[in-house]
Amino acid sequence: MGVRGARRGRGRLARRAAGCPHVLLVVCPGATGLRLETEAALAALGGVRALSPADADVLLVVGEPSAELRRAAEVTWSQLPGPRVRGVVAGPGRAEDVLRRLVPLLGSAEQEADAADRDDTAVPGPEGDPPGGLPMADRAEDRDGLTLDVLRVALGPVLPHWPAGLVVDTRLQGDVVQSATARVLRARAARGPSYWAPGPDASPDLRRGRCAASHLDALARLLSVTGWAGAASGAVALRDRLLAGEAHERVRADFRPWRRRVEGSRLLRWCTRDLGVLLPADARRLGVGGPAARAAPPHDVSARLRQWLVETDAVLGGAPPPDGGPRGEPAAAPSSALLGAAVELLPGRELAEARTVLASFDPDPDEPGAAPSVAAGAS
Amino acid sequence: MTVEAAPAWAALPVLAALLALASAAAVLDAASPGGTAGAAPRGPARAARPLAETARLLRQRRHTTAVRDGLLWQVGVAGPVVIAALMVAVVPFGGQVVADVPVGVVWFNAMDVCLWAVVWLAGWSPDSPYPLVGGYRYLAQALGYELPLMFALTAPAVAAGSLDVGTVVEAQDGLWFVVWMPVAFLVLLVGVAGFSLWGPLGAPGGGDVAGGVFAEASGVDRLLLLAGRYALLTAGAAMAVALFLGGGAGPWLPGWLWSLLKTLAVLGCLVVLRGRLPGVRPQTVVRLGWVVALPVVLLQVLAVSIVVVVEG
Amino acid sequence: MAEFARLGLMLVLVVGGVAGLRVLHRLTAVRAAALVTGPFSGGGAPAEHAWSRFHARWYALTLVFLAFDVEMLFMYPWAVVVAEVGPAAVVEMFAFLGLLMCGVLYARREGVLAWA
Repeated sequence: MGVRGARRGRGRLARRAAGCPHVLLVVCPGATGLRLETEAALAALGGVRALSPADADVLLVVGEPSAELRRAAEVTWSQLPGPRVRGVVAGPGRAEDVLRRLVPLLGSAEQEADAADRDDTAVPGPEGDPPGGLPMADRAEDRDGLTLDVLRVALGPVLPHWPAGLVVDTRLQGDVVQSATARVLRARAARGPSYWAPGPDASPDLRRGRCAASHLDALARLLSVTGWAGAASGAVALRDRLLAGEAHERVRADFRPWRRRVEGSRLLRWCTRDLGVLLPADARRLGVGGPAARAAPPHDVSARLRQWLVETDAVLGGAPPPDGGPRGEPAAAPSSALLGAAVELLPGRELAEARTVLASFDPDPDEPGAAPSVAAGAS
Repeated sequence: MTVEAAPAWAALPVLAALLALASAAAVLDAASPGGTAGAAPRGPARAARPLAETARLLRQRRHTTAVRDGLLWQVGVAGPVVIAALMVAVVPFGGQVVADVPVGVVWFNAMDVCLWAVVWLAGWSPDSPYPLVGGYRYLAQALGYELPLMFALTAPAVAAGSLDVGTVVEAQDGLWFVVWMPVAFLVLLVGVAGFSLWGPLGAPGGGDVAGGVFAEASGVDRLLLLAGRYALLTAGAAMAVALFLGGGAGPWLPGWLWSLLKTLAVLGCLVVLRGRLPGVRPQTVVRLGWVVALPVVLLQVLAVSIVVVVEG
Repeated sequence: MAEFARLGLMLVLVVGGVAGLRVLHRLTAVRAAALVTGPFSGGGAPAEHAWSRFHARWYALTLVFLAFDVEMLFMYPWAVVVAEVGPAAVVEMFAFLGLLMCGVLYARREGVLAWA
């Protein structure tokens, strides 16, 4: 075959490989609109959302990162195995151009040079205790009074199906959350109103569309977390059609069968019932409003999911949104209360349940006044 | 139909068939809505995705974490595809089988239990929190599906009075076992989905833990893991065909072709069902496995053994 | 034993295939050597090693599982002879399985199946 043949073979391989880029998004708080654009552009180009840096070829920062988020993006970038490219979607209308510019670079010969120049970012230290310069897990008592290893794991800010800019610092025993502290990373610029709640001046049609699209976005996240990618991609498709300005009646015609499929799934009901119960008294105490407070008994994940489905259907049918925003009255900062409620329910839950509970409240860190920090659990 | 040992070289075409069927499953998976291709537009490009993915992973560099157990990682990564090949070696294709082992059913069972160790190692060895959780999830859900799977495997063995997969195929002359032991067949398929981290039983590689056991794998490691997953699904489907769907029995076509077509059909059902079902957390798998599947499959084995005794 | 040698042959073939794929990857990857980084922790640095004494909360269930698993040792040879031995084999085996199922009911009542 010879050297030239080998090189040609590699070139062909590289071109083929660039046909399905796996993209990891680092979304900044306040960049919901940009995120939606980026997701649509990614789908149109045949890209796939990566689940972890080892799975990714493209790192895309969406919005303007604060110092902390920039550090997180930098660490994540160092974990992309390569071929790798990165870019920033800084303003509206640019996502597709950025992706179109970046993806061909994955197939270029410079990738070999980049790989050759890279140093390992974490070189194991001298053998011994502790290996790699990291301490081993500490121990603490669990709920049964057994002394067990505790692992401190931060969920976010870079994590699939996760609210932008949210970090939940957890202490895990096995995969059970012992305690959780949530914080929302600061946005670089002062935040305007949330993308999902365009304010009373906006046209009723826009407000209804945003409300329904917000619920669909939340549903897609929740369904993804429960492991039902098929239904989640249906929600995303409906959301994008709404945001592209399609008539609500037509979207509703396709929403209905999708809703029946989700609501009719006995398996989904099995997996979400009696999980994350927020009783009305607790909802009032925490100041939770919006769909989460209106969810029917037994006030679990299942009920909140159904409430989103019901309200989306109603709003698409022409009813006015029940609140000023999809999560409640924007003036009352509903996401702070939602995050507070979610974090309070995390201790004692295993990781999958914890993520499902959080996704069923879906706090929106974009909201101005979202709580900087909430904590729950045994310390 | 009679089943006898194939010449030794048959191992090669059987391995090739395993990989071809696994690739077919990957293509079907990419083409079906909600499959691996995400929201990419439909069309031939979508079905060709597994090829592009393979090229991508061959070009991608390997990646390891700072402190990891390299040897155990290799075992965990190569394990699924190796075990799938060892499973399929005892499955007859038409009238021939690579390894005519007298205890083929037990061998299949033993191999799927080896997966417990293998997948757990893949999750444990990178010293990274999300794969670790994924590895332990695999063990937890295996506790739920494994017993029903074991009993589902014994039902055809009882009916045939043999643990030899070839004899089980021969015993289905006239009446396929799926007709009078449908519960065992369904439970076996659920077990196959379970040991292949597939669809509703995919929590060990779930998106909520950044891909779980897959989270730190890149390059050829990821390629092996993903190929292993499809290969396990294929091996499971092939075994289901031999034990319940009459193996290579069928009119007009040669036996081996019937085996392939039936395996492809079962595989197709498994792939298409994935997009239609939500994920089930290991704890729910355990509850369903012990409270629903286990009693039901035991009644199935009881019914089968009563029939066998009465017919004498 | 020749049948088991065939399994060995299959093992050699597939392990050879895996090794071949690894060699191919060394030639096609942008760089043959693996990249070494820290574990993925959401963009932060890990606080400690993930390797820990993982609290497997289903440990009680493993004991129930083990009881059934040992039972499987009897089940396989039983499956071969049940037709010959006749009704006695069926009665004995399912009486035993019935006892084990009582154990499952007890375990369920004790909350072994719901560990979170």
